[in-house]
Amino acid sequence: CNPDLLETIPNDRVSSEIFWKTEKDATLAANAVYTYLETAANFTNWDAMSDIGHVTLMWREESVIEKGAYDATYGKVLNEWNDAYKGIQAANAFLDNVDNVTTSNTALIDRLKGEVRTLRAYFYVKLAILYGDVPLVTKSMTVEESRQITRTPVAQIWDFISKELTEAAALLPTTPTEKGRVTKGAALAINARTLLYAGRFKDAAAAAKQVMDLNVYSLYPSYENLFTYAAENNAEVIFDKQHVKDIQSNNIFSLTTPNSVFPQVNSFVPTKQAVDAYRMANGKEITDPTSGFDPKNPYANRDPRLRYSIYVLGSELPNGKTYDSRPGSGTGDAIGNSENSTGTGFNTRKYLNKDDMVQPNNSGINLILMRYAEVLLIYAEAKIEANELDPSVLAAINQVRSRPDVKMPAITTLGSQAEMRKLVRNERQVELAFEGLRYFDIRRWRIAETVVPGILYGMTYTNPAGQQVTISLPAFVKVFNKDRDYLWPIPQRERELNPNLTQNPNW
Amino acid sequence: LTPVWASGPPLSNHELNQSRAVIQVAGRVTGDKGEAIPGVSVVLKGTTRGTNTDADGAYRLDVPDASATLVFSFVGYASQEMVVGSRTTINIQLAPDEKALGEVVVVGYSTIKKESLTGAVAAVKGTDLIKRTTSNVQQALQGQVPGLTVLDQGAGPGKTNMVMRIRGITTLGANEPLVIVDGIEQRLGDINPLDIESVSVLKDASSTAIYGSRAANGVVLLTTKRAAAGKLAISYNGYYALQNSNNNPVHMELADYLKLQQIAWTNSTGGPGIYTDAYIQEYLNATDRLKYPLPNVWYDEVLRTAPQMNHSLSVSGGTESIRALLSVRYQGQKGIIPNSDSKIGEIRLNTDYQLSPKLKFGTDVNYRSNNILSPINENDVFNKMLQTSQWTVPRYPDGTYGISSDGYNPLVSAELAGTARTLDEYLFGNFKGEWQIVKGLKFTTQIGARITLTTGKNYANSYEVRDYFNPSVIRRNVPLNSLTENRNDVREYTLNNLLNYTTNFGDHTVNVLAGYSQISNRGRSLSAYRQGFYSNGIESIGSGTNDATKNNGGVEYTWGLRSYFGRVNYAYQDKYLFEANGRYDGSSRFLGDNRYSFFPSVSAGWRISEEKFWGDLGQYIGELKLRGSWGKTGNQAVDLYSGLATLSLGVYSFNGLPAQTFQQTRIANQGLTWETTTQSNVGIDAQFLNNRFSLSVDYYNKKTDDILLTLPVPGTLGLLPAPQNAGRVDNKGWEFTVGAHNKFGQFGFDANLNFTINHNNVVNLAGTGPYITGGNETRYITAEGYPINSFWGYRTDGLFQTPEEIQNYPTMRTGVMPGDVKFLDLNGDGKITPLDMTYLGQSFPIYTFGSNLNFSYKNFSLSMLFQGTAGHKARIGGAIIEMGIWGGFTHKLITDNYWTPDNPDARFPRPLKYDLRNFVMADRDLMNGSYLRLKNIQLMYQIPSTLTKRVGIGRASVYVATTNLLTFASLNEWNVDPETIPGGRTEQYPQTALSTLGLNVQF
Repeated sequence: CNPDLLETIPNDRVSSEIFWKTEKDATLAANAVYTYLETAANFTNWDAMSDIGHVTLMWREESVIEKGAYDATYGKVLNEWNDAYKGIQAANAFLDNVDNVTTSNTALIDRLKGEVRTLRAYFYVKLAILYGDVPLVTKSMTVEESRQITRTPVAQIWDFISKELTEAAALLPTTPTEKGRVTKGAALAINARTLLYAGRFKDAAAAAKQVMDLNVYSLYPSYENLFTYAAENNAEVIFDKQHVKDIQSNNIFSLTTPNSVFPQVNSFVPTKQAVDAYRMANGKEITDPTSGFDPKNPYANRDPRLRYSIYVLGSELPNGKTYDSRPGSGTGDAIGNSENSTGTGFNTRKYLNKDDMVQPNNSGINLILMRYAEVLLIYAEAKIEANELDPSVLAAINQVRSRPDVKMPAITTLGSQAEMRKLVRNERQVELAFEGLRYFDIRRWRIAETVVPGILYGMTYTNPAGQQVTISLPAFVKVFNKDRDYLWPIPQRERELNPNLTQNPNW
Repeated sequence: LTPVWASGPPLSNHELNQSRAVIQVAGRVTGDKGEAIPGVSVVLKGTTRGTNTDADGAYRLDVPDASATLVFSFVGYASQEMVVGSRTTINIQLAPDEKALGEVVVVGYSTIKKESLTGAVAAVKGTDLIKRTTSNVQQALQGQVPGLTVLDQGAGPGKTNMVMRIRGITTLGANEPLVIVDGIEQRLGDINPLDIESVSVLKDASSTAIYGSRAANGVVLLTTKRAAAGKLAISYNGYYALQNSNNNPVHMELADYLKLQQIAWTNSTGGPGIYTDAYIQEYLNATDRLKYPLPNVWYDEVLRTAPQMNHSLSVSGGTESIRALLSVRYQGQKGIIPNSDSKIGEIRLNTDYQLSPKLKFGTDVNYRSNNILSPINENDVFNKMLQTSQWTVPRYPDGTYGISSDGYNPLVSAELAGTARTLDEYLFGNFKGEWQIVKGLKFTTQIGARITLTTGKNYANSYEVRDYFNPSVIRRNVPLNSLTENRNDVREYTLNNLLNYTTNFGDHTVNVLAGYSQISNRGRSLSAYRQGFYSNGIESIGSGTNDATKNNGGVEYTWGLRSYFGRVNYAYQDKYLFEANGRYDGSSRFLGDNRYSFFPSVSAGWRISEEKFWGDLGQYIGELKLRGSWGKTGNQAVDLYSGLATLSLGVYSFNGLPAQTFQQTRIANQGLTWETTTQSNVGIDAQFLNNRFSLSVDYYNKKTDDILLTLPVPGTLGLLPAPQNAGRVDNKGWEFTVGAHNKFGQFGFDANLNFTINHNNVVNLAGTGPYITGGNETRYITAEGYPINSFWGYRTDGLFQTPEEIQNYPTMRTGVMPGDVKFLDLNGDGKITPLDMTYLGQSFPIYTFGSNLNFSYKNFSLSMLFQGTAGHKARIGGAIIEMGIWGGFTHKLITDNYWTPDNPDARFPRPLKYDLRNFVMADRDLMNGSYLRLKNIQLMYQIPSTLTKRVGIGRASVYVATTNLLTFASLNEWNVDPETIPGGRTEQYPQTALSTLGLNVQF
């Protein structure tokens, strides 16, 4: 008899018994935490559910969320929760075990701890803003513990995140050992965003100032090219999800490209609200009678960032053809051409690189999760909300507006807090459109109840009869219930498994 | 006298001289209807001397003296022995083998006389399995066995999608019974139905415990045919059949559909519909259906009648010392969709060698190849027939395809998208030796090897479809072709050693069996991917683009099982029967102390009819037996290495370079052990009125403990769950079998009815759960107090009729209007939330029934198989019930039967474009899943032997048959097959109905 018959040892996987020995193990385990940063689909879908976007395929869960018709059983509600906690567990497993590694290279271990703690904090930011009070898990749990853990008030979650990021920043280098690793600047910038979300404006401004004072970040000269391969890892990028074609690729191209360039996948499109937010090149709002806005030619002479961010009638597509989304235009982009064609007549443009046309599901472009322009705007917004209106506020905003290929007129006068608030919010909406921030901004500003609900509108064009027509989406009405929708429900499945989890109001 | 030896070598003079007193015997061998049987082996008992009957059934043989015994045997008939005595003419009528087979039943590692059986075992004859034209053994078993539920969920040619459950669902994971073919675990799908001699289904613990850790879901034992000694017997079976889709949903008429869409748009937007009245009139009046295509014509355009044919040839015979059975078969089957077929070729050689009265060997070899072709994404073809292809011309006069506004056409998915080719090869070899050590003591050893090789080649075409009216516009473009190839091989070696001792003393009979068995299994797989081939015809992996887009992968694993087992049978006067079984099983799937486990069983029987006091009752009730059993069996079906904490490899990247990652993603459960099923069974077997009627009744109670369960864990844990031993599931039920056979002159009647009741209940989930799976389309729950995988959702109370009614009622959504579904607020909190969901019915049948009816008159015989299930619900998801909400298939049933102010009593809610609020998982969309089906009806004609012998054929018969001719089911109104997946979207290859013309010939 062969005694080995029943002693089958896996030869296709690594057993934990042999792990956590060397410093290489520490690096490999820290690397694993990065894999939980958002996918291209998650990244783009946040804004798709806000007022500036619309999910094209109406059976998708994000579309149901747009319509306010979701509940605690929805997959997306559960998946965001689960994904965040998977990342948190990967981080906790690292922090629980890393001290078992034998090494004299304590600098490396400290740096990795800083990276992992920053990433864990980053996952908590998403949980806190989506669900409010959430379980605070800082060590690997047993199954029994996970069935009993309760929700921690969101204020304590914000405290935890901020403390972690402050401590992690002390462990991290200013310039990364490898591009894409978490740096001191990343920890501080995420802290600034956290404090802004938490409404702790003085602290937020201070944290943003710390990043500015590092003097390692600057704006990339071209907004148009900021989201191309040429600009990867430039000095504006503070933190990103790194990708490499073929090996660690994403599908952002096929998710967002106009139907005529690559059919059948398109995920979401901009709305009229997104486009109308861009001011005229002279800095005036399009509703301003003196702005020079021409309703017959509505997309001309606008803030250049409009055409850098959105395909409008007449834009040049990655395949060199002209974007023509008018109904019946005969192109793949014509409204009504297919369920994947734009419903609004617009498509997003950021991250669409010609290079990805051949293999639309194999993009290597890094997805920027935090860039210096946002830090400047956090600084400005935080100062305004703290009512510390000083020239540094104008300087921060104007720095963003004066990028060489944007060159919007500088704001020269400090207005009232309300005026400045409107201004910085508009700047933030326009500058950071479709970068996964708007959905959270309209929630923390509590304006979702006003900007979201209602019929969806799209482009304005001249129809064959010579009439000016604005597209409205039939059979689609966005809903936002102010008494309920500012927080997502705690996933039903999670509450079935852990009876100690309470539900958010009105769910 | 000159002796005439019909066969065999001439004898020497010496031998001739030895046999002085020679008697010449002649006669004729006929069947039970008086027909001649050619080729019957007539052998002088104890020798190899013999002859075969000729085309008239006549024989002539010389025997040495009056005490000689002749043995008459022929495949399919019970052998008969006859002492010559003073006769010179001996005519024999051979009876079909049925009784003989019924008397001996194959059980684990042995056979037993039926009357000595103490467990719950159902036996089926191979001849019953092949009455129905089937593509595989699972189909053939449907409706034949009490306690065995078989659901046929369709599947393309060469593939199966069957659910087989013995006595209900015992566990939340794998529920498939263990299948043993000729002593070695094999797959039912690898066996030629025509090679099967008999099937035994072992159901209670006393019959299954000898298979220990793999037996909790019951055991199916197959025995293949073997040759009998005698002249070569050759038989041919062939048929030609036409397959058709069983159920084709009917789409709403054009005018009705446009009207529904208008109302749905209006209801959603509050404004006008999407079509102008003029456009609707223009569309309805149009005659050019190229420009104005009809909605959804796919069931007519995609599905087709598909032929299927089968040729089987078997040759068997030999001498007492060497016998062989060779069978070859070819089955060709086309699919009911384009680009779909399968070709099965198989060959089996079963040989037996009798070296001496004490030493026997046998070797079996079986090779089978199954070549399957299907569209690269077969389900997509069926998906597109229902969704996103509503308005387009299937094909224009010039042969080009239409493309819907959503970009699809199911014919494009079937014909242009590419193909998946699979070659399944199966090689089985088996050596068996039997040594009679002393009288009553026998040693048997068996070594079996099975090798499964699968090669797959999935080729996705590049293609484009242009607009018919404006060819410069590309309507669908897939610029890149690609090829995925994979290779899998699994090798499994089994060793069985058995020692068997039988003895009789006085009224006592004792049989002892001891055995050792081990299985080792090794699997490997490799896959490769490349894209960008020069053109679609170039399909060799090396011809794809050799850049970073190429990809490969592979897996390797091993597992083993080691077992010791034994059985003791004791019978007193053949009246009181006792049996005990035990198996000690060790599995590589478990660690440390949990590796080995013991599975015992005991059973007893009392043949009341053998008692003296039975006396005259015997003429009415010839046989009456009471049986009882108790035992434990196990289930080891967990993923390999579940007990080990392992880290998985991943990849991230920094600065454009790949970076390896390692992490544990799954909980490890080192304490994992078997799940154990404890089963009690009581049964009664009776034969009435000279065996004209028979009855068997069984009651069983099955408790499965320590269920191997991958319990969901909270997301906050951040790890995937591991299987654990938790909870208990009960199955209790009754099984009834009633048989009748009778003959009135030339009219024969034979009927067999089986009926099963099974109640499933989750008793305990170890303090966890409930576990809810699925979503709004179909939601299941596994919770304490309910059957496994029950339907879970909202209760409803009709439709809202007035705005006032809505105001006073909790609603799930804002904007609820008259005509919307009224969901019930079961917990009374004034809101409709997931907390209001409740149990809506079970998804697996409670009742399973089948009935075989056979009538014969002269040369005609008619057989019918009815089969059905009841007591469960079904939920159809997707377009078929959704009233055109997304613009997919819209069922005719909905026509004018939806709520409008003028039609308040309608069955269906108001249509709402792009809004599924009225189709969340609720009681109103659950349908009764019960059905009764005439699964098969066959009419056979036995060609008179006076005709067949003129062309040199022994026996010949022709038959016509059809399957699924008649179905009674409430799902019929949706044209959905009741055997379909209970929560399905009907987006898979459906079950088909076959019409068959067949021929059986024996030479």
